Amino acid sequence: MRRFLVVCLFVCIGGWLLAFDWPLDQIVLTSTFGEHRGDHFHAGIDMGGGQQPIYPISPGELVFYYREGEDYSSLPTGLGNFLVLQHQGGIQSLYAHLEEGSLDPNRRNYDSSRALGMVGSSGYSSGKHLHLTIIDTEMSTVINPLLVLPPLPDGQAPEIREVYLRSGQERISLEDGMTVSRTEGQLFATVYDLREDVTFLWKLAPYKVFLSQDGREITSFTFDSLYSSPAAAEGSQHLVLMNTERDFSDVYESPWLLNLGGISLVPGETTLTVFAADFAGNESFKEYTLTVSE
Amino acid sequence: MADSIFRNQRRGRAFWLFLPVLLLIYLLLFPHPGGKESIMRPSWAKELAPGARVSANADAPTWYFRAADSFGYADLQGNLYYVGRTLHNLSLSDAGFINYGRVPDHVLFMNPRGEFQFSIKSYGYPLLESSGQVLYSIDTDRSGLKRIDNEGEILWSMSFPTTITAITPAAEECLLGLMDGRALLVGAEGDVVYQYNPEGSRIPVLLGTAVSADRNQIAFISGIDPQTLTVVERRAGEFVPEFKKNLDSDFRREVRLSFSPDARFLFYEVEDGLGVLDVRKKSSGGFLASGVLESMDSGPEFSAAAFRLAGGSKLLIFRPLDSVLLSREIAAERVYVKVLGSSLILGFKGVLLRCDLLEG
Repeated sequence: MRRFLVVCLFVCIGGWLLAFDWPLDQIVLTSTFGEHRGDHFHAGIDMGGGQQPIYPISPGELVFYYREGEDYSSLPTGLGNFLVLQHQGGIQSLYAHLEEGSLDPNRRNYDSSRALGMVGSSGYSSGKHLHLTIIDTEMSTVINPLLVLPPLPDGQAPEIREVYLRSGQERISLEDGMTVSRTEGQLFATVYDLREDVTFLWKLAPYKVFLSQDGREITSFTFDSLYSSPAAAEGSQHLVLMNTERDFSDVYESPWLLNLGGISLVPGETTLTVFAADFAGNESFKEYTLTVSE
Repeated sequence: MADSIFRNQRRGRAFWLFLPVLLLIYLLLFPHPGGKESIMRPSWAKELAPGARVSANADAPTWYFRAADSFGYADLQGNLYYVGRTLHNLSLSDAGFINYGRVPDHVLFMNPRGEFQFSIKSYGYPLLESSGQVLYSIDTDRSGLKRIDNEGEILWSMSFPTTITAITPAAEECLLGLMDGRALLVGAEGDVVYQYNPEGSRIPVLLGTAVSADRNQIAFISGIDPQTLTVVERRAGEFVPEFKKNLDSDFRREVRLSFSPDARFLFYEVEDGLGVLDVRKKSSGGFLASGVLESMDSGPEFSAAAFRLAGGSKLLIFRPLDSVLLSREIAAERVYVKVLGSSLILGFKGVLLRCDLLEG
């Protein structure tokens, strides 16, 4: 918890002091922090908006680069052409999938006014986009870039769909006012965010998700930062959401389907509330008042 | 008489003064071999046509090669067992290969004859240990690593709040370099056997890793201002830093480094050629070469390196620490070198070539 507060403090004060800026002029957010990526969280954001120059989020120094077909790499990489800049305060920013030939390996220092490359589709990519990761090297934490970048207008609230309880082999889809038998199990919900600037149904991860039963918090997690849990580091190292210590398999059942934790339904009346918010603060919730029989 | 003796004495002094000059001229005109002379004699050259297969009765030990965008398996007699073209990327091992596209759904493991062995779901991009007995998967964003068996089951996984910069699989272990400057030696069960924490550099970053064949030495290049070369030795299960040296280089990308087969020497990329560390004597030297190190390999008899130049390559064949057997610019680009005993295998666009080192 102390670590979480330190990161929050950093984000508030550091973000204001360091004044990070968006790396693109035309921003279409196509993927957010914490999304499902097969078996791990998406540790950054993706931006479309067509081919355009990429600018550093703040002045920085080149730490590492890789150019497909040019530079030696002992490991395969899906980042395509990419580079990493070191900024003040121990912050690193990683820019991936750059256009071939747009990265200058001889340039050491970058200011915000000069492009570092062009948006491309190199590496594990199916269209031109920029992937941005921000790392706090002093806290060994991957930060949701939306925490430190200027606010992005968004008037559309997240969607909450298909809330169900899994009890053994049984799946009970919840409806408000329904009667169910006494049981216990895991509650799942399909939750995703939408944005107005993408006209078709393009799903993004929400920022915050919350489940309560009769006003008591069952689960709450926020996609704000990832770090290696000290508990997990003893054996192997796994990234967990900082505020909850939940790892990928604890959070996701499948893409957009979130594991909201275990609940018990005992005879009587009970109210379950699923709440979701996006980064801009738009909120949605669904409430299910259930009658539980013996 | 005395005068005559005096004249003879003067002539003798001039002769002795002039003698070293005469000797130098003689040596320059008629150099005497100062030991064994070494020549590289071409043995065979093969044109690489994709899909090439060897006759059924050839069963000599095979080895893999690369040749620009081609790869394959051959034997020392020049039989080609398989020739393929690299898709998005490729992982090669003695036991077979995985050639995969940019966004793979499943990846296929093929044997050295190009015959299907097994297929597994793709979690990221595959990476084979050189024997082919250990398979890893690297997350496409370089943030994680998994070990997978040939049934596709994940044996263990690790993920990091930073980016993997370098990796050296070595038998059941795996040395990882991270963007935050750490080097982790990961054991067979996914446990961290050894961790090196960065120190002394203005910006910590791990830029290259190497593990000796006997796995008793590990080495890495790390940091910016200064960039350092570190060798750590494993003694009775303990890891002891053996050597640390600040380098003149200022790389901001992954650099190559590798041990000689007997772990006596460590070869590492420097900005103007190749550095060589005698691990036992802790003395270092190197070879000057322009261009970027494209490929290198070493054997018990000699070592070879190819440097990328504009429109060609420079080939350097040497014995550590300072004996250059051959240094020549060649017109081929993207040259691959492999040392097998006294033979040098060269691969470049469309051609695989064997040369033998002869001494006498």
